[in-house]
Amino acid sequence: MKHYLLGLFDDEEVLLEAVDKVKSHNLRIHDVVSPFAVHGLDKKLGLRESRLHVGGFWVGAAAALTALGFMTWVFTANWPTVFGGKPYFSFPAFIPITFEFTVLNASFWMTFAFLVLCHLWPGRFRESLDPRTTSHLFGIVFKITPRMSEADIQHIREVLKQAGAVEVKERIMEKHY
Amino acid sequence: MYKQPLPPRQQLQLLNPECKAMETTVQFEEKFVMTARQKFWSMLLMGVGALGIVISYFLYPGEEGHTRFWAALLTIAVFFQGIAMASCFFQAATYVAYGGWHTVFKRIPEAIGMFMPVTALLLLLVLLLPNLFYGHHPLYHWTDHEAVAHDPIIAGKTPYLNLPFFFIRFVFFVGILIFLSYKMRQNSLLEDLHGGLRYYQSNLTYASLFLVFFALYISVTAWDWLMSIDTHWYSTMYGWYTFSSFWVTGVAVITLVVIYLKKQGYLSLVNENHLHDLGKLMFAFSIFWTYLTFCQFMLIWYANIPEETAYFRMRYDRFMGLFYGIFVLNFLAPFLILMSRDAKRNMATLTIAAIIIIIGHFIDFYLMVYPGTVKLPQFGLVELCTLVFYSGIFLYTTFAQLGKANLVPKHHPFLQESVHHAT
Repeated sequence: MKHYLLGLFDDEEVLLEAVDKVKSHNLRIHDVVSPFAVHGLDKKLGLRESRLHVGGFWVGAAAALTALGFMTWVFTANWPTVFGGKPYFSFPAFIPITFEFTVLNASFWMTFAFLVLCHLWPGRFRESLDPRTTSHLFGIVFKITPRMSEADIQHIREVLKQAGAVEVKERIMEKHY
Repeated sequence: MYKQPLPPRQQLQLLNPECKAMETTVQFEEKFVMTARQKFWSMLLMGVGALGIVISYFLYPGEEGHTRFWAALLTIAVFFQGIAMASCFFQAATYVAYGGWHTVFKRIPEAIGMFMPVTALLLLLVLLLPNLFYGHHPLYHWTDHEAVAHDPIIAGKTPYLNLPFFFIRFVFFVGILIFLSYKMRQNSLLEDLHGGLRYYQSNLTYASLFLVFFALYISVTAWDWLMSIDTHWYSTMYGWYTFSSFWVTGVAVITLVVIYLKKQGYLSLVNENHLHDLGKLMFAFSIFWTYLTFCQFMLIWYANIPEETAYFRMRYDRFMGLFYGIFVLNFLAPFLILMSRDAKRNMATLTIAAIIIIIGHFIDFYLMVYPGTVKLPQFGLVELCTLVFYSGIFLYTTFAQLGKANLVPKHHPFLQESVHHAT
C-alpha cells in the first residue's frame, strides 16, 4: 500500500513558484508529475543529470566498431569478394553501413534503457495518480508515511493551497504509481 | 483539456511591449563603443594586409605567380563573403522560424552581415580585374577564348559559362541579397526607436524573400566562383556542400564575436543557454558538412568514372595531408569536443571548437581553389597578407556596425523569450 498526497496546479509558472514555496517550508517533495517537460523544474527539484546519453555514446561507439570489424572480417578474411574492382578492404563503402548500424543501436538501446529506467517494460501497467496530469494539470506529489501525524498532513495541504493549488487530494494505491 | 497554443500572430501580440507592460528588472540599455585600441589594431591589420598584397603582386612574377596571387585573393574573398552571407542567413532563418532564443545577441549577426557590401565589392574586383589585365581570368579556364575553341566540352558549356552572364548572375543575386539584408537591418534599427510589431512583420517578408534568393544564390555562386575552376568537372552536390561549409563557419564566427564581447563586459543578457544553442548549431552542422562531403566523395569513388575522379585525383596526389586533415578538423574535432552538454556551455571549449572549425573550413575552401589553379599546396606572404587584410576590414566594419545601435534589440517581440531562454 502506498499513500500519496497530490497538489494539482493548472499553470506551470505557478507550479515553479509553488515548488520554491513548498521547499521553503522544509517539506520533502517526492515527485512532480506534468504533461510536458517544464523548463527549470529539474534544477529546482535538484535532480541529477541523466546519464542516458553517456550510455548512448558507448553503445554507439561499440556498434560502430562491431559493424566495421565484422565487415572487415567478412570481406577480407572470411569471404573475400571483389566488388567493381575495389580492394577487399574498401573503407568508404563500409561507412554508410557503419553509420546506420551505429544510429540504430544507439537509438534502440537508449529507448530500451529509458523504458527500463521508467519501469515501463512490457506487461507492466502503471496507474496514473490523476489522469488529468497527462493533459492539463501539474501535480506536486508527497509521500505520506505512517509516522506522519494528521497535523503534518494538514500542514502540507495548507502550504499547497497557499501556493496556488487548484485541488489537493490523497490517493492510496496498490503499487508504486 | 489542452490549452490550445495561440497562432503566431496572436502570440506576438501578447509579447508586444505595447500591449503588455514588461515586468523585468533587466537593464536593456547597452551601447558598444569601439575603443581606440580596437580601431588601431583593425586599421593596422588593414594597412599591413593591403601593403603586403601590393608587394606580393610584384613578388610572384610570371604566369604561375600571378595565378597564385589571384587564387589567394579569390579563396579568401569567397571565404569572407560566405561568413557575411551566413550571418544574414542566420537572421533570415530565425525570422522565418519565429525564433526567439537568439534575440539578445541578434545585433551581432546583423553587424557581421553588414560586412557583405564590402566583401561583395572586393570579390567583384577579384573576379573582374584579371579579365581587364590579361584578357582572360587566370583561374577560370573557360574565360580563355583560345582554350574554349579547342575544347568541345567547355564549348558546350558556354551558354552558361560566359563572362557577361557570369557578371549578370553575380550582380543579380548578390545585389538582391544585399538589398534584403540591408532592409532587415534597417527595420531592426527602426524597431529599436519606435517599437511595435510593424517592423517585425515587414522583416518576416524580407526574410522569406531572402531565403528564396539565398537558396538559388548559394548553388549558382558555388558553381560560378568555385566549381567552374575545374571546368570539365561537375558535381550536383557542390552547392549544398559549399553552403554547409559557409554556414558552419558563419556560426563559428558569430560564436567567437559573442564570446569576445562577453569577455569585454558587454552582452550581460547572454548566458550559457544561448552559447549552448550556438554550440549545438556548430556541432550539428559540422556533422552535416561531413555528411555532404562524404556523399560527394563516395559516389564519385564508387562509380569510378575517370572524368569525375580527376577532381579527387588532384587532391590525393598533392594535397593528401590537407585532404584528410579537414576530416579531422571539421568532423572529428568538433564532434568530440562539442559532444557533451558542459562543453557547449563553456566559453573556453566553444572558443577552441570555433577556431578549429574556422581553420578547417578555410582549408576546405583552399582545397576547392588551389588544386585546380596553383596545383601545389602553397601558403606564403600573399595568403597571409590577404587574410590579415580581410580580418582587419572584418573587425573594423563589425565594430563600427555594433556601435551604431543598442546591443540589445529593445523592442523585439521575442526579447522576453530570449532573456528567459533555457536549454
